[in-house]
Amino acid sequence: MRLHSSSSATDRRWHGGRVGGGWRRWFPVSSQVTADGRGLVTVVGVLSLVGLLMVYSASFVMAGKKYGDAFFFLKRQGINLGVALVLFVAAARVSLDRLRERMAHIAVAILALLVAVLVVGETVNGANRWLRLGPIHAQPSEGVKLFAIFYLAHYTSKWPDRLNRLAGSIPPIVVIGLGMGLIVIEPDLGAAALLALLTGLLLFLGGAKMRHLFCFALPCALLAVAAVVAAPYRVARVVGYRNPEADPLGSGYHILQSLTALGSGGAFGAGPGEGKQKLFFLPETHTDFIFAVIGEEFGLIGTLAVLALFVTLLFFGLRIARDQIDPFRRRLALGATLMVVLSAMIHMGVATALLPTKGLALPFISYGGSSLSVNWMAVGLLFNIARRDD
Amino acid sequence: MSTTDLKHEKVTVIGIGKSGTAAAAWLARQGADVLVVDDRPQEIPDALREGGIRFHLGEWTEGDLFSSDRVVVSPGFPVRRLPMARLRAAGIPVVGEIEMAAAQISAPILAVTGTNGKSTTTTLIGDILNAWGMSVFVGGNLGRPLSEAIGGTWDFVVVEVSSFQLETIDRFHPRVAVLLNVTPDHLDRYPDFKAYRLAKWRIFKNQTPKDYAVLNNDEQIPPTISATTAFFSRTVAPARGVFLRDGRIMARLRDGEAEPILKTDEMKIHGVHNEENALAAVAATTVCGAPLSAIRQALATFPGLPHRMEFVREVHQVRYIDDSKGTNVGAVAKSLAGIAAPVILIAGGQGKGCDFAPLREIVLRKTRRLILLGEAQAEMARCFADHPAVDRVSSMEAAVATAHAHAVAGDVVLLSPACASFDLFRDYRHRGDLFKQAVAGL
Repeated sequence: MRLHSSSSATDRRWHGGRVGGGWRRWFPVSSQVTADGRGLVTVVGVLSLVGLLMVYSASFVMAGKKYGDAFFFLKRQGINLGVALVLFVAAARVSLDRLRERMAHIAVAILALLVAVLVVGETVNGANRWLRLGPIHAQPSEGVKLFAIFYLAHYTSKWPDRLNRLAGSIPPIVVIGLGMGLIVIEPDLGAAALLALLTGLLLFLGGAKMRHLFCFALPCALLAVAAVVAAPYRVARVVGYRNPEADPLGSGYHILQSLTALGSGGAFGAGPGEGKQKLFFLPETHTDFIFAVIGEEFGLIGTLAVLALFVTLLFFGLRIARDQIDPFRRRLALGATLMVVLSAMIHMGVATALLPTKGLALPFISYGGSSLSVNWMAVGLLFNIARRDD
Repeated sequence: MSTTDLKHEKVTVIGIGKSGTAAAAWLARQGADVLVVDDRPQEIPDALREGGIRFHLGEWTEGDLFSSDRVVVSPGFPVRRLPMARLRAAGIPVVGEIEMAAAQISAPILAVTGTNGKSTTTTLIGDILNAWGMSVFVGGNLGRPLSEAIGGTWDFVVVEVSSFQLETIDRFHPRVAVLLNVTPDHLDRYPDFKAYRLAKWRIFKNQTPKDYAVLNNDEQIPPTISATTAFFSRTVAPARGVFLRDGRIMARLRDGEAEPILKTDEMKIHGVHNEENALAAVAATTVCGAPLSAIRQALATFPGLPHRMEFVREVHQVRYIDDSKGTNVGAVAKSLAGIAAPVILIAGGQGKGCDFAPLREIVLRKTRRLILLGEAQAEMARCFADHPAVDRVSSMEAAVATAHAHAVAGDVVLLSPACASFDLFRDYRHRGDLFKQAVAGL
């Protein structure tokens, strides 16, 4: 039935009555995505390809020695990327409104996973951060970040006036604080610190008062100091990062090797695969110090290019957020953007000795399925939000 | 214009009403050199006594415009009176108060226009956003001028915009623009209905696909809309929008599911046009992400605005309804359509150049008696010559007395004039208040 035949708006109102039940409720037919959304995915696609290249370059020597297969990490990262892309599509297509209705279920599931890590998790290098289920090898602490941005966007926009009072900030801080506490016990202080930073930022952007946030930040800071003081290696890292030469073979070792890698790369780099630092001088090159390998092999040009890609990602993410009228979507877009960009900034800060040594992945580039999946899902949420309604 | 540009700029503000006053006060605070002009000599409002503002009240000249760097026009002032071409040639921009204020506001703006129901819908949208817990500024053509919203920390700004205000817009860019309905009105100020409708459609002019246009599915749709559309309809279920089904307001906006909002009889406001206003308000707030709970709460408690289908009193099972704001043919038709009982209609006043013929069918079908007042009564009596019972009276008291004398149990006595009020009364409020007084005296 048509009332007027020729106007485009008229066509729009009679087309595409998307009705249906079951999974259609959860994954409605997706619609046009804005230029910002497409730009964002292009940037992230390039970053992921750079990631595959760098993971191979950083790991082939070590993989060849350890596993007898130079492509060991490249292959696994390829599979990780495939999984991440599937999750990206799911996040880009899922009905955010349906997801919001299930917030409590999601919270319980995430906390349960964190408890499971502590009970049946795998211990690697002294930290209990991994869950293994058959071939799946996951780091639930990464998922907590994604949950936190979703939950904070939901909470601050569903009850916007609650944050005017101190008590209004308590529910999100308790929920996320529980997750954070479980991550501290693992222990993974870096992930916990990033989570705290994200939570504080998003509560502030959601309208919480600075003085209220300070009331929560103070005990957090005291706990953090206590946690650092309790473990001598952490004191050394925190104190040592400004002056790594003081203990070149101990606490200053990572950072000195990272700086050496960046320095030897110069302006144009040693060329792909030609880096020397990854030859066992610098540990964890394919994860926590991959930025240093980029600097050694591709020089200042390479590191600046990666930095520029993240700045572009920030630009598109903020534009998508700015365009939203619905505060939930605006804050979720902000949260997803900040989650990715803050992780990247901290990783680069560590590699360049601007921040204390802390093992955090460089989103889309570092080796690791959980990080890759969670960051691609954050981009999926942004893509979902950037979608136009017709 | 950025605020730094305004320092020491010479700005002439035309009109010293509420909007002009608020605009002049803000401009003076920015350090502009402000001159306020108005046709009528009147006292200077307290808000403008400081800041070195100059006044030419009662008498002003074109020189006051050409000596300035920009001109700000109050909503009530007809732009046609300005030498627009020469001002443009002299490089002096002319902006409406609403556009000046909107440019200074970073919160998303929801703008509502239409012939009838603007104030009700604007207020209702404000109520829903408030029930949600958002900090909201509600104003514009209704209540507080938009200039008063500048500098506030608002989550949303809801503004009622008249067709006159839309005439001067150039960059006014509402994130959500609502067009309720367009029926003939103000034809004394527009060459024809088409020109009036085009003025209303200007509200969508600067929107982009990232914005929303909320449109009445039951009316003609503007041909070129760049915004994402959401429709509301009383009669059909649009692919995306808000509609009525089995006496319930349903919303189908984002993800393809139609969700029931509430039953129309749970609302305190009634009648066809109030249902439309509610549908439009639901559509506008749902695209902002308002939760159903807030929408339900606001709709269930919103008492309606005075003089808009306002229930006054029941005397001997006859209900008296004040619809003094029904100042045009379209409003009266909708008011009548929303009443099931036989109606004694009190109408008339100062005509606005509109034809009463579109009312003939519904008036003849719904009204038992027609009581006519004011200047337009002769013209209306001619139009309804074949109505079985027409009275011509000279005052509101006489009108109510006549209605009372002829009403029987079950009737509705409705004041819905289809005309302006400026012949016998100060304004529509005065007219409605006199009606209420007369009804109270029965």
